[in-house]
Amino acid sequence: MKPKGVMVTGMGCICAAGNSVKFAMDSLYRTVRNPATPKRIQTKLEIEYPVFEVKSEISVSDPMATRTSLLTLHAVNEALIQSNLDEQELKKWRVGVCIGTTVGCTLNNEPFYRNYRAGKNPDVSAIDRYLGNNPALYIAKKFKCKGPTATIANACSSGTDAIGLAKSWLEMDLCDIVIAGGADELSRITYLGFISLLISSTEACRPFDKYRKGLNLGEGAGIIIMEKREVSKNRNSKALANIVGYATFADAYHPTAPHPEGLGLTRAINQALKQADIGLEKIGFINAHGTSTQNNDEVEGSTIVKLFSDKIPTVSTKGYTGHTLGAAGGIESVFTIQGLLDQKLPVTPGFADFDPACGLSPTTTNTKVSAEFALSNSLAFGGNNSALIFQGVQE
Amino acid sequence: MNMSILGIGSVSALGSGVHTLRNGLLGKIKPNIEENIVSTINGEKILPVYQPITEGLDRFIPKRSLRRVDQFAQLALLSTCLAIEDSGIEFEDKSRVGVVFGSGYGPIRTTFKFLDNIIDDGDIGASPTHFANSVHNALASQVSIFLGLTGPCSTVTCFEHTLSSVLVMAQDWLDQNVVDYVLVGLGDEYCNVLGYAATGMNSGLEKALQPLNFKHCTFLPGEGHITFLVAKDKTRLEGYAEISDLQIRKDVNEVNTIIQSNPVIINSSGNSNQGKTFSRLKQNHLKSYTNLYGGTPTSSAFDLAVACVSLKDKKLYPVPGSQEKDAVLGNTIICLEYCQKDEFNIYRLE
Repeated sequence: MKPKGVMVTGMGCICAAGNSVKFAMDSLYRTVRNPATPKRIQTKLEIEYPVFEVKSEISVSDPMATRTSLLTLHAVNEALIQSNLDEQELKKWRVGVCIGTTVGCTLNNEPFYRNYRAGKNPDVSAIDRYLGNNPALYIAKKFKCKGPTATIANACSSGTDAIGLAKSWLEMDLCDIVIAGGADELSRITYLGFISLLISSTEACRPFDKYRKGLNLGEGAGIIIMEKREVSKNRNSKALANIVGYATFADAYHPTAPHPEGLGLTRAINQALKQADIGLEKIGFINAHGTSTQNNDEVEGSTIVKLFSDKIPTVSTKGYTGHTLGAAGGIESVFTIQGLLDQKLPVTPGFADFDPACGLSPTTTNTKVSAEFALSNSLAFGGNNSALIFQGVQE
Repeated sequence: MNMSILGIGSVSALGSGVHTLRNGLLGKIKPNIEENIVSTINGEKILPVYQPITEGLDRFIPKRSLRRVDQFAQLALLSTCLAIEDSGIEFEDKSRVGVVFGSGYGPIRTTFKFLDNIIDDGDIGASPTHFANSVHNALASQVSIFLGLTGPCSTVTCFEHTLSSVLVMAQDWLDQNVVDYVLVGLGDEYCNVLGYAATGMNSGLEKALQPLNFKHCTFLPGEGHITFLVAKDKTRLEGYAEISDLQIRKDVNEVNTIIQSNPVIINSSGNSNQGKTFSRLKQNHLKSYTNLYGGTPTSSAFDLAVACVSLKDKKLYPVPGSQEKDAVLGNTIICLEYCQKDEFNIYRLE
């Protein structure tokens, strides 16, 4: 059968589980997770909500860069090395950049604003810094990329949607190579925002568990390098996977809750399968969004069971990374591709008790799979539902 | 690219509805420019700002259901409803209508309102409503919810690359046949922090925006939202125009070859840094209409609307405030969007 879709030739990742794909996967397969009291966020709240901070060093520095940009750059560098792309090689091609984010595109510099409100005339360099750190623009400038450039801001599905759009760019011949994924730093603003919505947990998150109490925020970046097949052939680059299907649909239901019957998610999965030209039975495993909130897990779990069955191997990796918002789709794409390469899924940490409302038992041990295709879901505020389908590459 | 623009909903300093844009081009109405007092390091300064005139949303959506919807989302809802009304189309299948919106700053006033809650009431005072409305995709989501549109829904925020990205996304959905129509919306709102930044970053702001004065900074900020209802080319005769080509990030030398003698609209908002690139264009008949709606990261979308109106009217409108007369327009007009130094996005409309 003729290979379909676009090729993934490089991956990079930084998150609480590790500062590279290898280290992160090692943590996942050893079921190591470290939610902790936030170190970089101080609040006056009496209750603490654990988070998944990146504690390891970020390999890059730039005094004008935000933490989100640095996380992105760190992951991009790792991915480019694997793809055998340096600045000289990048110059030869039309290279697009498509990054999903939430914090990274928001002008919510609290110290600046406090000074502004207090009439202290703060230096506008804070605004200049914001303008220079739109994640996609930052990476495009850094690597002198001349292709299309977009930052996707679809809340928690941003990273998945960025990869989906990048796939379209390649298929529409707008560019030859795309640097795509998601990135977000932990921020006091989102930390307080999620607490105000009453969906943050005071305990380590427990995706799909009957006694789950909410999500833990995290930070990081997940980047993949995507190439057109003919470009990859020309460069003699090695494929890690193919991206064969992507779709996104709206629930049009509620600003912060998914449609109770999983309307948009069902359509997104079905359309992604249609684009991939495969049936449901071909999906070997699912990397679920699995945030550990009541609403998400109930809707996503029951939708997966309805479409597939309760036997489909499913993992949520939020228990290793926290919910990294705009980065989640990027990081989970990396984990999904690595799962296809390893033919293995890690434990879903935090899951112990079956919840009939979800109907789904995610992995409780490291699980061997036999999968040619895998699905990665993302659900977001505003009722966005997005699905990506990856195809493993046989050696 | 082959995408027809079937309806336009414009909400700007000229008013609500595409007719206000046309009346502005005809010189029948002037934009609503309000003086904002901005506190700066050198004392208070008056900054003229293009403020939108919003009226008529209650024709489409009951006021009481908008209680939790912020002003920016209301702006987007209004421009979207106007675009649908302008097209005369009634959606038979709302699951085949996509929504893709773009913005430079997103819901910036609500972002700062959320910070105000925290500063005034402490960390415990964070408002869930303000937080939910402060995410960039809140506008597109509100539109999909209020109008019951269950096609794809997405948001792009990439300053000068926003318009091109949302159009490419819309084209992709149309090509894949997952939608029949897409609502493509772009807009930005003004807030005092942006005014403070504008006065801090640009010395010598003038009292009037002069888009074709490339030597001096005459930038004035604006606020507004514009939505296009687009479909595949088969329906173009019923609409305004077809976007027949989009070329991304072309060097100014290539651009000079491409534009040749075609009428050209540039998105000059009086920023002198951008002016250096605009001044390298070898064309004597550049048009710019930014002094009708003010400068925002997404104001090039208003240029597209002007191009559409001009093609429909077969008339190349004079630059507002100039001594020019209008001229007969052929079948093609090109919009140039500044990307970065010496680079443009090129939109060809026919």
